[in-house]
Amino acid sequence: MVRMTDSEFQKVIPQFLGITFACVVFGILNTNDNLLYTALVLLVLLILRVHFLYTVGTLIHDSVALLGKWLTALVLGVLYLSLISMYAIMYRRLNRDLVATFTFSRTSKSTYQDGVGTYEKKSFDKPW
Amino acid sequence: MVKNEKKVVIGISAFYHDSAAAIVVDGVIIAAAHEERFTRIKHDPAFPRRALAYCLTEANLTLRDVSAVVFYDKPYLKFERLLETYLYYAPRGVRSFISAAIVWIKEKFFLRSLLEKELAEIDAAAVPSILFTTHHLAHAASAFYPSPYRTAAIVTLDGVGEWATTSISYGEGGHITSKKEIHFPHSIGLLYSAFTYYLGFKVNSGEYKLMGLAPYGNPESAAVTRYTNIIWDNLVVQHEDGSFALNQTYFNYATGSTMTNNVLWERIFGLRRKEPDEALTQAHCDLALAIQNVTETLVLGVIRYAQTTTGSENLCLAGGVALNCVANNVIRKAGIFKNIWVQPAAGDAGGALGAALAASYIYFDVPRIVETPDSMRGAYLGPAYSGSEIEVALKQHRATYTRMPYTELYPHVAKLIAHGNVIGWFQGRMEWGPRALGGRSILADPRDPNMQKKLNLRVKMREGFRPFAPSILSEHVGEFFVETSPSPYMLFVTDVAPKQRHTLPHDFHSWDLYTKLYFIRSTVPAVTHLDFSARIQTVHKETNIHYWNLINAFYTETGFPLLINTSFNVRGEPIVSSPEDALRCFMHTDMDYLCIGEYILAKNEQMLTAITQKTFAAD
Repeated sequence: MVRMTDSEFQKVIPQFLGITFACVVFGILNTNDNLLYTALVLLVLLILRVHFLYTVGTLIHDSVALLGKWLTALVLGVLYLSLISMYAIMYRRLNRDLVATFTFSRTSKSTYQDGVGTYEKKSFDKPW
Repeated sequence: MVKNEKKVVIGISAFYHDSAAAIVVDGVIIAAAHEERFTRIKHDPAFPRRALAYCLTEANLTLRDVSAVVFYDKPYLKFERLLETYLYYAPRGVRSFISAAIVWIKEKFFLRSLLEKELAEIDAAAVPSILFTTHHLAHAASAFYPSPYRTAAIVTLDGVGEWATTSISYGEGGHITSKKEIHFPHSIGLLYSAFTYYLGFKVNSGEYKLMGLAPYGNPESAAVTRYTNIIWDNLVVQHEDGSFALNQTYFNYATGSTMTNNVLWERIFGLRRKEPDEALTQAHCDLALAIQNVTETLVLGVIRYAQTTTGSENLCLAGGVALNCVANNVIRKAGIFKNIWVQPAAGDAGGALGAALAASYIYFDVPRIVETPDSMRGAYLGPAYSGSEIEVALKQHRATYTRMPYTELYPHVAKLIAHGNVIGWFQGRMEWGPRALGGRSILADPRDPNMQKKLNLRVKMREGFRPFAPSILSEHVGEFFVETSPSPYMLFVTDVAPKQRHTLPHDFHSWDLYTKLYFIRSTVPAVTHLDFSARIQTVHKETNIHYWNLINAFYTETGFPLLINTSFNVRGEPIVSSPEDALRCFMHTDMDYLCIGEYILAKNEQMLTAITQKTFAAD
């Protein structure tokens, strides 16, 4: 069985997990509404990322030694999907706007949402 | 220095499909072009390097003169939609989410850097500031600012931008106010694309084929009524205010790589998804007619609400759905708005022009000048070639040609067309938008009952059912068509005038597709669709003098002031841009003559080995 090296774990897998996690958080915090808050959370995540990723990396490393590469990947995949699913369920419960957007209802009176008003110069500066 | 005096804005659309660039100087549109015309890759999504270079050359400017480059959407908002869509449907759709997320992590998150890098390759020391506009503002700006109206309601309808799929805005002077939006996943564009997919055509390019197929449906049949009812009962609901929602149980585009839930569609329609190469049946045509009817109803609902919301008598339209010229005619006939103007590049490529205009008027506060009939310069915004450039290209490929002054050329070419020849017509600047308008066109005689078949199968190499559009002198439009208002960009259909029609047999609608197609329905059968409609282009002396003169010469020769006009390309190929593209296309199809500028080439005088054939992927 081919074993992955420590550096491979610490570079590739944790980075993937970290970036995905950051993306999830970034998406949840609607950037339209609170830019400063988003930036602060991203900064904290960036600081925590080192410890968090190292821990995950070490855990995966130990699992490979015990279970082998493919079994670990399978367990990790299932775990990851379960976590995302649980998170999504929770997220959906908390976010009524999202549910309203995606729900198909014949009894609803309208699916129009309010526009942003008159476009201003400052709306061109940022990619969000 | 120019930079401080003039506001030079470049708009970019890229990285999805149909990338393009446009340049606007102090609010005046100087040039705009699709990248595919230069790279010869249909719907090319890459950064529009060559289109941008062309725009700068046409404006006689360099990157140092540019005040800002504007991208046509907001990438982070788009990612937010991707993420929230996944979270809503999780764990369903994990595969498509991961594949999309990888692209985002690798590239699209860093769009500003990517754009800066591309611009740095042109001039590293002069990368201008980069701005971003929302997708639907880009569409709205492309529709409103070039229009002849000082104030107007603006409706944009497409697949999806960031979140919006439909928007209603109000334009006044240089300002645009967003009033209402409908958000993903509820989208008229995606609904139409879902049927495009189910009927075996390619999404994002086959929608106009679906529109062309719809008139083959039997409007008197129970099947069309049944399909229409199925769509309303299962797939879509429209509320009293015109807003709508799509039942995602039946669609797959939010979580998968296909458009429809084929199992459920097969169950409700009793018709399995058509394979791309499978023969068309009457059921396919009836389904196409049903979704066209539903689309028109949905669009009308939104348009009515836009009028109520804005109180305007002028309407500006853009977004991919605005290329549905049948629906546009329904809007016009409904009389909800007194005046309608549609951006000729209403699809995503048009976002490049809209982004540049939006930044000019909103960000740089350039005073808006309203022009009549509009500010689009006839949509001839692409490259032109001088006589010497054309001659060099012809000599390089050892072409045999004759040069004649325009005064002799018009009657000569008109005679050739009247004798049944198919002409490649390459004159002046290339068109902006998906339609050929007499700059890069293939022309033929609309009176010839066999011409539709010949053009489809031997020249365009495409499906036999596809209709052709007429170009008619604006002065004579009322003699042949019911609607007489200008249609310079082929964005409206109208009906052939009753006096030009032939009577249909009483059982016409029950005939099979091709028997119906080859029945001679009017005095101009090659441009009369099955339902007597035609997607007309009115040709105006002020915007294209060469084309007007040619049609006028044909009128003198035959008494018919109109020609068949189809784009100068074959199936799967972008419209030709350069003389070499034209020569290549001419040599490898059954076109009889090619007319580039004042140069005429006869097919039977050419050496077939002089230019190599290019192959294009199926469209």
